[in-house]
Amino acid sequence: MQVFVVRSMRSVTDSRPKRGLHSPRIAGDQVTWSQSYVETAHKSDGEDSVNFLVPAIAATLSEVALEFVGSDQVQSQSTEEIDSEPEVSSATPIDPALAKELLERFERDAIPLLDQIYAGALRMTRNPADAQDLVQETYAKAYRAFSQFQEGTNLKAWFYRILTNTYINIYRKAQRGPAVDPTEQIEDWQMARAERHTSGGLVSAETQALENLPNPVISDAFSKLPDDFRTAVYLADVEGFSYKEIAEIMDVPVGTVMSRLHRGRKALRELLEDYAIENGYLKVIAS
Amino acid sequence: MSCGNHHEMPCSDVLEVIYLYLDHEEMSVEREIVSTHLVECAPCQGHFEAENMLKTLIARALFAQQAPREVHTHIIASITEIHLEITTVHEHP
Repeated sequence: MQVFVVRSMRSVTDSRPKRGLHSPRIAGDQVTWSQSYVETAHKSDGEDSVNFLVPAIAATLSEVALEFVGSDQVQSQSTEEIDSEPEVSSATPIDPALAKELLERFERDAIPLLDQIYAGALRMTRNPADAQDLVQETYAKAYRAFSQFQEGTNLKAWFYRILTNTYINIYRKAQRGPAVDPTEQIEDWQMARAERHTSGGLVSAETQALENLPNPVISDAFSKLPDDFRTAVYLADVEGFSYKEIAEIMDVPVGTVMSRLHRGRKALRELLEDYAIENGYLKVIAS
Repeated sequence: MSCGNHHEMPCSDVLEVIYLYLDHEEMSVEREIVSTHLVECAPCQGHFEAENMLKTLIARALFAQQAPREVHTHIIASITEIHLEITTVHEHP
């Protein structure tokens, strides 16, 4: 398989976030054109949205001189490679039709994932402005690396992998100084309240109480979970990824995924129990 | 934990694989054996239902909403921009 990468990507790839990213440097008529796509895309998922980008760049496609390097191991690339600058070898022009095909494939396959990826980003960052920046960065990276994506494999998982990696690189580094082991954090946190919960007779009443909790209560509690647990639970329970897929997305062993899921769910359940007890959804009979 | 009754698969073993069962992951035992146990054993069934409820609630509460319109607009603009960069770079090497 041939992989082509492009010189001169530096300006966007290197611009770390990035509130200022929201000001596209392109001509007004192209923005207007994109707007009309958005209207179309929200209206239907039919043919209308398929070729939204092509008219804007079709005129210049004949002038495209992309360069390529050969590669047989595209699927096994690590996210570090996605993050790093593309390597460019000797300049060899390729068929502009390939560039056009890539763009069309991106529109067809990647753009429809946008709502889901945004929702995932929102759960990671916990605020809309950061989620928007994160998604934008993710899509920029994904588009630059898209020639390396192997068609027929799981594109959504591939996007989540870029999203997760981008999030870790950008936001978490900024938030934390010295690295803290997340398992230590949760252990301390759970330790303080561990004794109150027993497994057993409470369970049936608890299930009923949980069922009655309003959605905002659940998403509030969810947002209190540590990053890694939140991501694992989200990928499993909302996106329905398998443990193996989550392991690949988060770049950890399957055992770590299971542990994060277990702890994340346990912690969430405890938070919700607390809420249910404090707000009268669940009565506790002292034993 | 044990409910005190005899089962083909002990309660402690069932609880050990309860997440795998819940998440439809591969297990070292047949799903059927766990299902049978859950039907026979009220405490384990209760555990499973609580976990299942939590999973359902998470999916319900966090279900993907549409991204705001401006997010779509900015992504499209950004991709267009990148493509223009790519396509114009060799005109002025």
